[in-house]
Amino acid sequence: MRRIVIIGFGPVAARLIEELEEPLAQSRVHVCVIGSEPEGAYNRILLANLVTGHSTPQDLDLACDETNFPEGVTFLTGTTLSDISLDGQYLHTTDDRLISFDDLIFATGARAVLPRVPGLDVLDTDPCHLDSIPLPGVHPLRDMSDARRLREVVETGQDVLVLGGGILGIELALNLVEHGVQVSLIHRGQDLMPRQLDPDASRMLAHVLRQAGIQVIPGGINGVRSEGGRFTGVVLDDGTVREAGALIPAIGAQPRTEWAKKVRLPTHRGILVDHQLRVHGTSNIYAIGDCAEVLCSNPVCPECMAIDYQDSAPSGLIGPGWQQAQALADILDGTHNRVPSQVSQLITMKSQAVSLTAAGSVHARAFEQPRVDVATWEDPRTGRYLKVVSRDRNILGFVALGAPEAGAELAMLFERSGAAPGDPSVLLAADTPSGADTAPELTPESIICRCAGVALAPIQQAVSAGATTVAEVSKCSRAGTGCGGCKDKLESVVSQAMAA
Amino acid sequence: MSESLITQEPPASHGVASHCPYCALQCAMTLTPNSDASEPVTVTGREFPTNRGGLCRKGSSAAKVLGLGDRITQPMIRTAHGLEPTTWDHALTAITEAIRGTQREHGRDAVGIFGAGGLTNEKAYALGKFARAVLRTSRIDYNGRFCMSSAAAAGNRAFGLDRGLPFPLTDLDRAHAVLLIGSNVADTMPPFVQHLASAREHGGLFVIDPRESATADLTRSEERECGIHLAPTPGTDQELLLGLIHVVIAEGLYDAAYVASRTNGFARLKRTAQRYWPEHVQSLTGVPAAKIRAVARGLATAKDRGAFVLTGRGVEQHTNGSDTTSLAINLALLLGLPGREPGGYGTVTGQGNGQGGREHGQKCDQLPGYRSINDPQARAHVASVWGIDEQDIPGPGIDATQLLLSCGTDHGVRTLMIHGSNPVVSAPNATRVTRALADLDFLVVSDFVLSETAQLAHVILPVAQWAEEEGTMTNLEGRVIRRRRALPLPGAARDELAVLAELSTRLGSTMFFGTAEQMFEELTRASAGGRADYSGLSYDLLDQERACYWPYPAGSAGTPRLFRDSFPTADGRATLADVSPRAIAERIFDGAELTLITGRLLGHYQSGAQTRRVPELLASDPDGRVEINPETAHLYGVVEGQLLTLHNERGTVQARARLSRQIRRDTLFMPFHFAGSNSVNRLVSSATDPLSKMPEFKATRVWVSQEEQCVA
Repeated sequence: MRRIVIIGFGPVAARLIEELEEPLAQSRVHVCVIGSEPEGAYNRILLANLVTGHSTPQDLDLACDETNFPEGVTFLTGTTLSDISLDGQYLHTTDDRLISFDDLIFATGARAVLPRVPGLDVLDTDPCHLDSIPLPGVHPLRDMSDARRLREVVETGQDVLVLGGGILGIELALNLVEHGVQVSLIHRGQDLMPRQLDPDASRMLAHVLRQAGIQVIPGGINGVRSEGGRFTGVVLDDGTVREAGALIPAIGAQPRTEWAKKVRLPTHRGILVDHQLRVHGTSNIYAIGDCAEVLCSNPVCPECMAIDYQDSAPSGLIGPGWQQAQALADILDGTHNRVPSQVSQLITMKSQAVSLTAAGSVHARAFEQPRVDVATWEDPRTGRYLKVVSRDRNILGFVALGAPEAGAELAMLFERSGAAPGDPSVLLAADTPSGADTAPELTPESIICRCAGVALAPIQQAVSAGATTVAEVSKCSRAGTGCGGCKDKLESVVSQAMAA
Repeated sequence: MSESLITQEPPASHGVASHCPYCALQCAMTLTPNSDASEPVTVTGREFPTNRGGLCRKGSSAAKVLGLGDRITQPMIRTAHGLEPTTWDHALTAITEAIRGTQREHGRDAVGIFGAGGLTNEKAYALGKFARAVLRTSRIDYNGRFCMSSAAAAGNRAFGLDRGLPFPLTDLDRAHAVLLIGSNVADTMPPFVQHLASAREHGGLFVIDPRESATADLTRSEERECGIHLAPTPGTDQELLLGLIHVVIAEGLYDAAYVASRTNGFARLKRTAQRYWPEHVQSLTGVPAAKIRAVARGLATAKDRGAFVLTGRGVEQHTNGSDTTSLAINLALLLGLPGREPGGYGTVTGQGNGQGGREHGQKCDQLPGYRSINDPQARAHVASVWGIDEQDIPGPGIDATQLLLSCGTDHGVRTLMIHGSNPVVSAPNATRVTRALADLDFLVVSDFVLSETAQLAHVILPVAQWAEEEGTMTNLEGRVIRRRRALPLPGAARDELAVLAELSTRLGSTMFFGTAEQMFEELTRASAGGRADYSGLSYDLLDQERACYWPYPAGSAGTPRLFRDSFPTADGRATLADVSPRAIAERIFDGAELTLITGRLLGHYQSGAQTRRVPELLASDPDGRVEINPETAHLYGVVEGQLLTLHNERGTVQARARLSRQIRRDTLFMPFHFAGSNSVNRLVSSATDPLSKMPEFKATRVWVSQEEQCVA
């Protein structure tokens, strides 16, 4: 029986265990999963729901536990490592367990990047054990305990500052403001989400966020204030101080590669793995999820050649992580599978108030490049911005802000490499108030009763022949004798015909 | 007002109380015989809970089919000159000889029966008995395989029982929310729409359909929002339902106590659903995440006051249809709906006796009482009712698609009897099916019009229509109702029950085949102890117009509402099926090709064999137009009314273009009521769902080309 050991117990590790169900059931493998958090795996992407009180921890629970895997899996939660020996093929935990493995999987995830500013001491001592909060009141939203602490701040009604102009920060700010929290969003530079949005879209987004009640503050912070060992506010770029109950840094994530580095595995931003998720230069060591960077060592791999090494990084998204877990389960079980190095760049804002979907490269401008079609719609009054960049109807990129129907359709098409509409303005129709609001002018041929197929003319004839009530008109014309859905319409038509 | 214009209500004493010949709503009507040969009874709507006196244009014109000029009233037999009238004796002799010859040369399974969901309970039961006890063939199945099999499979898997609506339809009148998934009742059974009024009033009508159908349109009104329409790209129903389930779980909107005490399988369902958060589902389906959340929350908010989840053929008629239906059931179970009053899950049965037709043994794997043909106890019970040895009942046969495709092949069916069905138009891969039927040694079709299938027959037997026969039907609610005779049989036409009795005797069998009432009495005994137990029912009881819902064991008063306290499963709990999206047979991935979906028009029923013969229905919908989005039409250079050719590896179909903003750009819609080159099922594949054997009717990849210049 092969012994598989997974370091890290997040949603990607949980998915791997689920995908190994068959080899587990047939006793072909044994899995040991080691997580530092006290709770089992939970769905990290729903953490914001905990802060706003929309979900409870049970709602997020991934049910990857002894109840669902009574055999073949050892769950070690609240457990940290003290040593890894690749040559000896064993791990040592701080509670003095020795765990040997045939296959070792890094699923250590990523931690939030904290701002390096005066007042916030980010310790650089032993990164293998660094996950502590530098200052109470400063909480990135990465795990259950962060969510609990932020929930406390929100419940006391204090203001919250979100630092970071990326999608996660904006989502969080929107989520909080919807639940009545006073939120300011502080971001570096001029533009929000500069990688995913063109400058016009960024500006529209800032406008929309302000309308949603978020104070958007460009420029970043210069320092953090505290009192009695607790966060009280930040010093903005221009020197002004802004007080708040909590600061939520959302300026990026850093793959947890400490242990990999310690045992001299190759890393870049993440742990470097090939398309079979194997760590470069190893045969039985793998990495998946937010700690894994898929960039193979084959110098002629067309997929990886296309990637600029400087830009290469783990995607930080759950979708690719789960795809990797699925693929790795096959690979560990001896079935061929592979993962791509480049993943879809589709992003969708999780928010009730603001609908934003974007993907691909959207910085192209009209007339700039031959054969690249750029169509843009921009209307600050409605907060709507739509941009579609395409070549021969292949969608290269798009932004749909305040246009949920167009965004959904484009997202679906982008993911399937589907064709853009010949005239993208048709996409706007679904997001504008429907034309059915105003009743069209009736003609004698207009169908009044669909069930019986009765037009206006026979109803008018019935009235001129002496019918005076809807019931009488129904009897001789059959109008209104089916589902009865046309009753209101019929009443108004009959009264109009009587008046005529 | 002038008297002549107003149709007088007939005096009740002259009218016969019966029900509509068409769909499963079984609208009540009064039939008053008159002297007009072209429309020999006057039809008036009759007060009844399902239709409340209303009728659609199909129902109100149904009497025209009784007086058709091309009505078959004489047996026909194929000669060198084609089909020619003959005598019953001659026709039955030919059939008997064909059956004997086929059995002798190719074995008992070379004789097959193909039944229908429009037949009365008595005829469905008699066909099953005739197949198993007289012909002793396993080769019997019916066109309901193409309608209700996925919902039946999913219902049985979840609840241990399949009754379309496990509650009276009028429970919907108290609904705060109704989720209709792939069902267009406003066109298929218009009087049903009355029962959506309450949900609409509460803003809770939710419709999932790639088309903005007449039903989807009910989510809007001029004054207010009545609900929400979700239009996923074809083939993504499962992802969308998992998105709804995701929201219900992630936001803690489910009924935790119900899930814990009345279901199995929550942990696995939750695990699967975690993978389908709304933003992800949006990129799979094209449905905005906000709408997914709104529908999930709307349903959940209404769950204690009256919420319903209903499915139709739109999601069921796929090669993953039973799994999709299971997901719809899962959603209802999470919200604690099944067994609550008002509330629940139901499937909107289509054909007139689509419910009864799937209970009494005309399915290949089934014996009367909705029993499994593999169950030794069920076999013993039915054998004792039939007075035969249990060993003599054949085992399970093959599903409708396979049965039809086996026709004329070496080890397939060589002599086939078709009752109440027109597979040349309605079967998937219709061209291949037509060829297979033509390859038969002998084809017997019992019908009252010269349908496209009857035209291939060696013998056509003229049989009774609805207003000429006695019997019972089981409507979409599982309520058993009486069909009554208002007219004598025309010409030499005979009742099918009498035909089966005569054939049985001629084949040397002593099996009993009697009148409708006698067959019903036997059916109730055969069903006793089964899931669909009719043993407490009789014509006397039904003739009191009492509301009789099965199970109706002897000594009971029937079961208007099922699942109140437990489910008829081994441990009394319902099963939350662990379903992961599986690609349908012809899933279109790149969005560049067009997906053809099929469905119904308001003016027509099924293969159109009846409704195409009614002048006013044909006038309103003379042919099967292909609905195409104007943007798509523009890309293909297509204009309104232009004749288009749709084709794929299975065939070619022609249809005029109808430009409509009500359909997605990646989707085409075509109704399946039409024949010949306008027959859309020629394009549909014969791939089937592994569990239900439902063909893939609703997602077919097609290519479009233009035939000629604009004509309309």
